[in-house]
Parts: sequence; C-alpha cells; structure tokens
Amino acid sequence: MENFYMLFRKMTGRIISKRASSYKSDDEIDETLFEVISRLFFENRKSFHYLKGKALEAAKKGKDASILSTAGYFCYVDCDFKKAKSFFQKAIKLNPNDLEHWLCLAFCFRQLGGEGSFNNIIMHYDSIIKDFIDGKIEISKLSNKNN
Amino acid sequence: MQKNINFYYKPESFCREYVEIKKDSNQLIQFMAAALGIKKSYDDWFPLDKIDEIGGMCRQYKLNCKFDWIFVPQGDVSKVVSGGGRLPTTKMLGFPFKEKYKNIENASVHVFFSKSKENLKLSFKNGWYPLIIKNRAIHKPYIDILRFGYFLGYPNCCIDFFRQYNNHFLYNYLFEALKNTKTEPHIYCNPLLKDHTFSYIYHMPCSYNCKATVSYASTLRKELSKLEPELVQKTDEMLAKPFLVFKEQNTYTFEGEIKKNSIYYSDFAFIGNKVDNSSDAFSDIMRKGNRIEAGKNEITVYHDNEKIAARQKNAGEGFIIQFKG
Repeated sequence: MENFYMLFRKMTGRIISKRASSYKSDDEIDETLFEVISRLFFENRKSFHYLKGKALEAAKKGKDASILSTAGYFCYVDCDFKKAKSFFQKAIKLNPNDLEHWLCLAFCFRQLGGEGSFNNIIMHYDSIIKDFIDGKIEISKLSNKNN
Repeated sequence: MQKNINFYYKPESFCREYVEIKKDSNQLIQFMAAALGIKKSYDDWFPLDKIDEIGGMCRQYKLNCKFDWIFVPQGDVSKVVSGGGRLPTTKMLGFPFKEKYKNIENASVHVFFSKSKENLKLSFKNGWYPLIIKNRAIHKPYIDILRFGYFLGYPNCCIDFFRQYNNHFLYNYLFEALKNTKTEPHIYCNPLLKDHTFSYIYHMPCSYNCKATVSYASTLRKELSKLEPELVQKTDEMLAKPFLVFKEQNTYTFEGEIKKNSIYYSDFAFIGNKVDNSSDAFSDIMRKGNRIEAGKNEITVYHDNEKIAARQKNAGEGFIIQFKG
C-alpha cells in the first residue's frame, strides 16, 4: 500500500491526501483529490488506467479509507459506478464521519439511476450518518431504487 | 438610447409553444436544436404550473423529457455557506420534483429534453445544480461537469478548452478564447447572446472560429432557415453587431460600428445576468455618449470628442470584438 502512495505521487505530482470533513462541522469539503484524478483521465489516459489498476490492487486490503475512496474516484471517473459505490461504502464503514464519502456514494446512486437515494442522502445526510454511527441503519439498506 | 435592441422573438410556428409556456425566448434556439435532434440534449427551467403543457410540447416534437428539481425564489438562500465560493449567482430554494407539488406558486422546474432516451438519461445524471443543504454547498463532481458537456453535444475541443481555462480566479475565459482565435471571428462562434435568444450555440467555444462549432451551428442554421427564416435573419444580424466584452454576463452590444479601438454607437444594450444587473458599470455613462474607446488600461466614453468618463480596466477585460458571417 505504501508503494501505491509513492507511485501516485511520482506519477501525478500529488499526494493521496484528503482533508476529511466531519458531517457535524461547517468545513468545506475537500474535492481536490477527486479532481486531480478526473483531470488525469483527460490529460494522460495511460497513466490513469495504470494507476487505477494499482489503486484497485491496493484497495483489496480494505483497511485504509483514503485508498478505498481513491479507488472509488478512479472507478467513478471511469464510469464503473457499481464498483465505485462499493468502494465508497467500504470507506464509510472505516470512517463514517467523513461526509465526502457519503456524498460520493450519493453521486454513485444518481449515476446508477437511483435519484431517490441520491436525494435522500444529500438532503438528510446528518440524520443518516448519525443513524449509521448509532447502528440504526445498515449501509446496504440505502437502496439503489427510485424511492 | 437603449430602445431598439430587442432580445425577444416569438416564432411563427415551429416551437412557438416554448415561448408561450416560458413567456420568454431566451434559449429558444437551443430548444429548437433539441427538437430537431441536432443538439443531443437540452436543459432549462420552466414554470412549474406548466408541466402539462411541457408534456404536450414534447409529444408534438417527439422529445423525451425528465423533471429534476423544483426551485422557488427565497430571500435568505444567499447567506454565507461552507463551500459557497463556487455557487452561481442565482440562488433558490429547491426540492426534488413530485407531481403533487405542481400547484406551488412562482416555482420553476428544471427539465431535461432529448430526442434520445439514452442521452436524456445521461444528461440528467450529470446535469444537476449545486445545492445548499444545511448551510453547506454541495457541488457535483468535477468529472460530471465535463461529462455533462459531452451529453449536451458540445464539441470535444471546446470541452477540453473549458477544462483548461474555466477558472474565474485565474482566467477570463472569453479572453482566452480570443487569444486562441487565429482568423476572423465567425458569428456562429459568438456565445455572447446565449441567454438572449439570438445564438446558435450555448457552449463557450475554444476559439471564435472553432471549426467544430462552425460545423454544428451551420447545420442548425440550415435547418432553422427552412422553418423560421426570420429568426435566422435576426440572429445573424444580432450576432454580427459590435460587442464590448468584460466577462461572461458582463458584456455590451451596440448599434454602431467599430473604428480602431472605438465603437461609435447610436444604441446599446447590457448583456448580463437577468436577475442581477450589478455588474453593469457602463450603461449610465454610455447613455450620455456616442463613442466608447477600449484602451490598454482604461475604457473611455465620449460624446463626439468630449470625454464624459473613464474607468480603469483589468488586463484581458474590456475588449472590442465583431463577428463576421
């Protein structure tokens, strides 16, 4: 995993670092890493796909929320929304306080045709996150249906 | 002064319903382009109480449509929010569309249109507006902004250029497009009237003679000539007038002619945000004059040879341009 951090930095000039924004705070959401990966898609498609493969490999261990969300960004940018959703769900389990993971999950729902779930998360994120942390809801219960 | 430049047009027949429903013609040509299947998809705001009429219009032109969010004017929406620096100037209270809300007064609904069900789906997924929820601005992912451009049918070269220069803190996009213009600016690549009826395009072109944009606009113009020749004639005329450009939503068009660095005018109109005209810094002084000069560091208004007022300008802003057919 350490290697992926270094490889990403070497190939993009950026570090895999994202300021987590607690759902309770008014902190601005840090979208820079997602944007860096989006730009890479257009500017160097070969590097994008190479790093995507490495990100998926690194994410297999599933113990680092930053790696999991990075894998999610790669999949989202590459229109693999189902996989992206799965990575953001895993990142949420590791760090449920980080609102950005939840919003990315909501974006995946919209892309997968579940605008009801998208609307639900973005409009009620505070109560949903609180309920999740309190063990009142399961992440798999946030369906992909048009509710 | 400011009496004759009119941005309203009601078609004889083709897409006349659009103007009747909206009570304006601001993006009429973009809707026509979607109805003709030339533009991949199109989105706009419509009065919420007209959803039945919108449905009828779609059936008439064999368009698919999908309603997104409902927006209601609300005074206190513009308060300071986390992440609000990138929000558009128009702020409204919004909530997801449901048919049961259709009688809410003064509300608008964001609607997507396309001939193709697939393009409609794709533009809908990527075309939502930033939202302020619980004192926090929620923006769509950057990649969705770029994808939306593709699904709206914008040329790849222009999307690439947009990706590089659409940063208001670093660039004046309209000036960057000018710097990238190698030959005479073409009226088909004039985006300055895109919210004022008379524009063949809605995207920001990568240059004012972008080949892909000219190709798209000429296809559209050819079809429109058969259906609404008067609209085409008026659009050609409006796009070919002199313009003084500061930035998007801060531009002036003139009845007049360009000589050297000056526009000699008998009439003008401010082309800006329809809700908020606060960026209009010149109309008051231009009413007193008949010539405006764009110097290197300042804009000066004259009446004949008498100087009326001068204002400093930033580099890259306040350039004069005229597009040719």
